[in-house]
Amino acid sequence: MTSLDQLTEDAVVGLATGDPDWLRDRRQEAYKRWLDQEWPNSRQDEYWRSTNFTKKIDVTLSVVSDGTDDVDVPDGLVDSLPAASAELRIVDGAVEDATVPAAVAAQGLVVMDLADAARSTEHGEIVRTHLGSLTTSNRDGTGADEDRTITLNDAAWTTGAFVHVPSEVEVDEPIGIHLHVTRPGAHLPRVLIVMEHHARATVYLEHTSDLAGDGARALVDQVVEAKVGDGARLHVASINEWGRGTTHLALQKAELARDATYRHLSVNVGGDTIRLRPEVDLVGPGASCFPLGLYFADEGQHFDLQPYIRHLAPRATSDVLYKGALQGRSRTIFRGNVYVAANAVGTVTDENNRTLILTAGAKADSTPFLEIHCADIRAGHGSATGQIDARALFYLEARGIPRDEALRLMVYGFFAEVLDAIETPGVAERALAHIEREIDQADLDAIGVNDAALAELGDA
Amino acid sequence: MSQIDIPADATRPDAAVSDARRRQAAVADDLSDYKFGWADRDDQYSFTSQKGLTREVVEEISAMKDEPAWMRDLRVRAYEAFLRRPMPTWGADLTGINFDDIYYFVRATEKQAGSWEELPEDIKNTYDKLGIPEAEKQRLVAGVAAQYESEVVYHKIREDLEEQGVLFLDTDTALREHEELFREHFATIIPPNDNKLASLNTAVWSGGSFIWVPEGVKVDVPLQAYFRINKENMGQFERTLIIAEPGSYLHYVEGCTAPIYSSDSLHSAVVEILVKPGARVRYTTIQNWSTNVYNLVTKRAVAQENATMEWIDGNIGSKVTMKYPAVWLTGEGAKGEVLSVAYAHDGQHQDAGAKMVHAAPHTTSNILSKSISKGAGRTSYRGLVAINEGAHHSRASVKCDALMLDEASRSDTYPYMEIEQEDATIEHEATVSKLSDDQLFYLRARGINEDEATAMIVRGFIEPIARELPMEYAVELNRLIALEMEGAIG
Repeated sequence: MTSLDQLTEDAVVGLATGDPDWLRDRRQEAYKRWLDQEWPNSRQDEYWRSTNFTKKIDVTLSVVSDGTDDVDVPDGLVDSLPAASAELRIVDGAVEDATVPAAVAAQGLVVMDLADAARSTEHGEIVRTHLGSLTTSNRDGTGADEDRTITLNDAAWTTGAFVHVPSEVEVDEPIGIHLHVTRPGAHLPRVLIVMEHHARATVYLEHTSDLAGDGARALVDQVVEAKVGDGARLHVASINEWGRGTTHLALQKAELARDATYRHLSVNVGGDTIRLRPEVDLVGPGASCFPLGLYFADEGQHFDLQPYIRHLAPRATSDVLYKGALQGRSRTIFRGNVYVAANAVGTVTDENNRTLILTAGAKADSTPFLEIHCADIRAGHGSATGQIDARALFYLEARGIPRDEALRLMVYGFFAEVLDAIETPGVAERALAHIEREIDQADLDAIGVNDAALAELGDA
Repeated sequence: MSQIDIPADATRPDAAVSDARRRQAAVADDLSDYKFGWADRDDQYSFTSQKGLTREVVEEISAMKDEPAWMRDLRVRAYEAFLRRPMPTWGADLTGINFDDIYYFVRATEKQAGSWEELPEDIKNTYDKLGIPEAEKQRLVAGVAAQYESEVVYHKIREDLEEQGVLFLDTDTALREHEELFREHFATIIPPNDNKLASLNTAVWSGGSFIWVPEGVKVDVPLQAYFRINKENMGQFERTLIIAEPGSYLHYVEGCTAPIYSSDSLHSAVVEILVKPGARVRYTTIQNWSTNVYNLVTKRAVAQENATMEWIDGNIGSKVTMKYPAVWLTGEGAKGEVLSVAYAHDGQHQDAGAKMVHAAPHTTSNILSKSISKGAGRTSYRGLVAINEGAHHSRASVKCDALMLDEASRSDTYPYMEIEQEDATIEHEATVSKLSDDQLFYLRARGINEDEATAMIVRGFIEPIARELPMEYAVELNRLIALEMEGAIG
């Protein structure tokens, strides 16, 4: 198939084979927009400023859409889910299998191939109503909703998952969606989650890759849309455990109706370049969201994390907390934004980013923005970047705890605030295992310690 | 959040209420007028350039000032950079500026005065009304420079400082009398192509202050400058250069006012400051331009080893302000501080902030920003803290608080933190809130009327910055805020 740069209308129409007319039309409309757009320009586009598009994103890669047979998908979080859980697996651009246990199917839970859902008489209308409703919107605020990487997915998504939880259905066991990549090239997956009013569910999005051959590269350009109805509750845990050679661009966006609750967790440990936009539009009064982030970047990794919350209705709340650590020549960017519209009275929002730089050569940027058009609100934000506190280290060592163990305890302590806030089962343990692995790899001698405080003690 | 809604003047009898309201309204009408909005006649000026900017205008300014060739060439180079550089699009709305409709150079009087009596009557009256000769008489200041339109019309420094070798001149005179020192530093901290507005300033600069403080000399009383725009469609482009030799101390204070016109004026200054090892410079601005002035200013200081640079920046007036005082901490142990207070009411956009670049070890910086928006006013904090590689053991702290007084107000916070060094400590905090119902209720329950209570809360909010100002300026700032607060609603 054609490369991203040379995407043709024929290729887009080819992807729509078997699709209903409305879906084929939408793909073609998106393709026309795509033709009119340019790839993001990191010099001009504020939101691409920190990830150099030309250098980091390879648009010469070809689209992978036909799946790969007999792939050993690594055991991960989704695999460890209880038997009662619904699961869906996407490998190399195609849905490999989807399992919905009878018990949850009887409740009305739907987890299936997105293209099949669009074609079905039963779900087609729901897909038609919601698919693409969060990508082409252009709401207030400075962040551009749509850039060419999103339009690309609108036009040429190759495969996807559809989750539908009917009104007042509460699904106890997590729903697992596992995306695995083995073939070099461009992967364009899509996820649509529709929660009807007062529904409740938890969705795990697991991302892994295992590219054969040295220097093999894959680009995953993903769009996740979640529509959360009145009073519904949705937890999404997105776990990025990509192997090396993988670049991940993602828009993971939710729209919350009245009194809806949304928790989004993003764990980022794998991959080369990750540019993630976890976004929330609070369109219903009294909705609340809790975007959480945990990341650990090491040698050669580049994570650009851009949670963007729009308060578009009264009395909604948001609480953003992103914590990350860095070692080796790595770079992390936190580019958060909270927008409060003029009618969003009674908004309560807090936005926080904490970064721990462990060794020299790492670079961390933090830009927690606030854009507020309404006076009757409470807003705060904070950011802190620092390193291991020498006094705390000394305290632990003085009590006979070896240095490596003391460092380990302090890194755990740093992440505890996020780990404690994770409500989805199994996820905190898995995140902790990743932190553990990163610490095991750490060059303990190279870890920078803030001894300024000790020097002050010495002076006194 | 408290939803207590106290009816206005609930405890008073009706007659007394209406009487008190009338009195209050009368006082508010009287005070809410911009106090400095008068205009002098401008038909007796000795020179006014044509409107608009061309290479000829740039060369004409240079010729009229009888400048050396290198300065003329620098101006022309800067003019070319100005044409090339794009207009900033990331901050306030600048589309209202028409560069072709501005007077770039206006000479109000032929000769700089050594005493107030020598000034033309109109200009003297203006400064009398601003209260400047009085302040000088009372020796509240150690030196005064008064710039009217493009040039400094009055200049005086206390004799004892002159004897210690302190140079306090207008920038044009400094170029004539101290060319070597001038050339060594001019446009080195803010190069001619730094940004479009700095290029413009370098091309057409006129006036401003030049200060050189010799090693170890401490100027204990502030030097002050007063900038006045009088003419409609005027562009004021003063250029200030301050060099503090090792171990010296200087406090420089500037204030700005202009008449109110229906069309817009442009003020685009450049301020460069070199703080040598162990020296300390404090630069205080109370910007109170009328609301038809675009105020686009580039201010940058370099702080060398163990030097301290402090910017105290008050933005009350202007239509649009874009100003981010910067400190490049290039020497080990250097310190930078920005205290910024911004106030925006209807039609105003204060886009203010600070930049701190840590380029050496053990450097510290501190930014405290307080902004208040009222009516449809908009305040933005925009700031950068960069810790460059090698700037180990650096510490930076940023704190921004915004107070919104009306439903129509807008407040944005755009903090950038870029950290390339593992052992650095950076903290940022911000809050945005409206006037607290609880605090208002407390004060009103004690018989303080709503306007006064609001003003008290706002005074408390800006107190951390007001207390850093020279006393008479703190009084002035509080008075200005009180004026602007009249008629505010919680």
